[in-house]
Amino acid sequence: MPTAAARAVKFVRDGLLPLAVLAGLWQLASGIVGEETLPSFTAVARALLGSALSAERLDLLEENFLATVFRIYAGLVLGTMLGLAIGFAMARFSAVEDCLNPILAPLYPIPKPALVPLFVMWLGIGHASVVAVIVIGTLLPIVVNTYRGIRAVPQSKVWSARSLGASEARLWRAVLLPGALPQIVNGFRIAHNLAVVIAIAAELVASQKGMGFLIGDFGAAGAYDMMFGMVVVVVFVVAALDRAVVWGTDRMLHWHYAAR
Amino acid sequence: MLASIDGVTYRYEGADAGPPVLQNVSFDVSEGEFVAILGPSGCGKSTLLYLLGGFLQPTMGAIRYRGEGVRAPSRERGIVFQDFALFDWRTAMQNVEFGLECLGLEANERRRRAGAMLELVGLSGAADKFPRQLSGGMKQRVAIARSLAAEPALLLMDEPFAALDALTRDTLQDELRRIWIATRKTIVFVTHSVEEAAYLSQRVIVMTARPGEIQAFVDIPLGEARERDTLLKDERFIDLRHRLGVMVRRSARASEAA
Repeated sequence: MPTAAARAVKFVRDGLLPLAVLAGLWQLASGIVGEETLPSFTAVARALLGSALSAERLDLLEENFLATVFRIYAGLVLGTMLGLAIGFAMARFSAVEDCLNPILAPLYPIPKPALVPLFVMWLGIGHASVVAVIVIGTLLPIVVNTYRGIRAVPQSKVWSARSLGASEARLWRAVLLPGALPQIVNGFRIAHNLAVVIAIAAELVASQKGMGFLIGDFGAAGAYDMMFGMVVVVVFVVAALDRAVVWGTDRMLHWHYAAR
Repeated sequence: MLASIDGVTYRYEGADAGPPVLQNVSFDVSEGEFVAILGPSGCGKSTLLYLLGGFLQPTMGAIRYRGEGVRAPSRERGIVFQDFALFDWRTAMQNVEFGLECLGLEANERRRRAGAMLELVGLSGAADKFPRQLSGGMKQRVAIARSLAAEPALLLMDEPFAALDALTRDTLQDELRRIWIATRKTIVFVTHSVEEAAYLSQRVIVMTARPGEIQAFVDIPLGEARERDTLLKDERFIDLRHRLGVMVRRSARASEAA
């Protein structure tokens, strides 16, 4: 266990210092290209601090922030559940596998935000179309990792379970699912990050609410310092959510990473 | 007679045009016997074990267990693999409990029996450790305890000590001798080590390289009380080891020349 002082030094060196360098470079770049092209770090910081002190601004931020968070997790949860079901079906039934395998490969590289206009046409502007695109986007990494994860469980584990008297149902529940879990979790981490990207991108075009909408809206109004401020907020929130997912899943998979 | 292999030929399914993995193999295993199957790598000795377990079906011939055709895996026939095949998400104790859960036993009874098995393999202190936290030798002890807990009549062992360092291997061989004498399980033990086969078993079946055929049956009349350090100087053991070694090396050379 490192001491508190050593941890503090590490936090400053690995956490704060790079951020400070980044802020410094940003300030410098803004000085060179001009405030109209790139609002300076101090201008954006002042705009954000000003927002934090204004109740009206805070309400606006809260409303849009919560809308985005709701969409991300509604889409992620639905996409994950659907993806698990499809991935399991593919690993379990060769008919499903044969049918879906050729479809998955070409679907994977489609840039999901490109589907937004289509869903706006079908579902209109608002929650539904954004969530729908997130579901589509998060589905694939979950499906592929669930399917491959189950397939990658070593035969010796499966055979051991069978020779110990495991029924088909128990084999799936107690061996194949936990055996595939590390890879399913990897798929979930990818899906989680994708959900954030898709949400912001979709909100830029298909919503009157959300952080993506705010970024676009401030930009259209010429409030570039606030626009940049929103981008900064999104970056920090995304990083924090990602760390939270990694932290949570690492604990869930402690047996997978456990040290001697 | 506990199990019999009768005229078994095994070929991989599909377009594999090479010789069969196993060709016309026949032998019997008696109740309580410790048989070693010895051969160079690629001689189909593991395949033979998987056929006995019911994990694979022969292309020709028949596998019988207590007189009945073997169609699928069964708790009657436990298996221990070279890669341990432990469930990484379960503690040592929970791994050993797996077969008992399949039986529908209550938690208390499961823990009592699994605890006794861990004690038998000398791992009582590591009951709550996860496989990642165990050394190779300890992992294999857990796997052996897990198999024994399901009370199989026949224990199939697929090069179980091949992945361990030499000293750990010696220790586990001694443990296995002790467990065999204590439990009187029938054991079919696959290995490519001449010394391991001679030290552990009562009878060695020597295989040729692909196509795997039985080259010889060699009895190991060394009695039950075997002590490694004495045995290593014993003329009979030295002679057996030499004979087996000559046979295995001959078929290994033949397969490399082919």
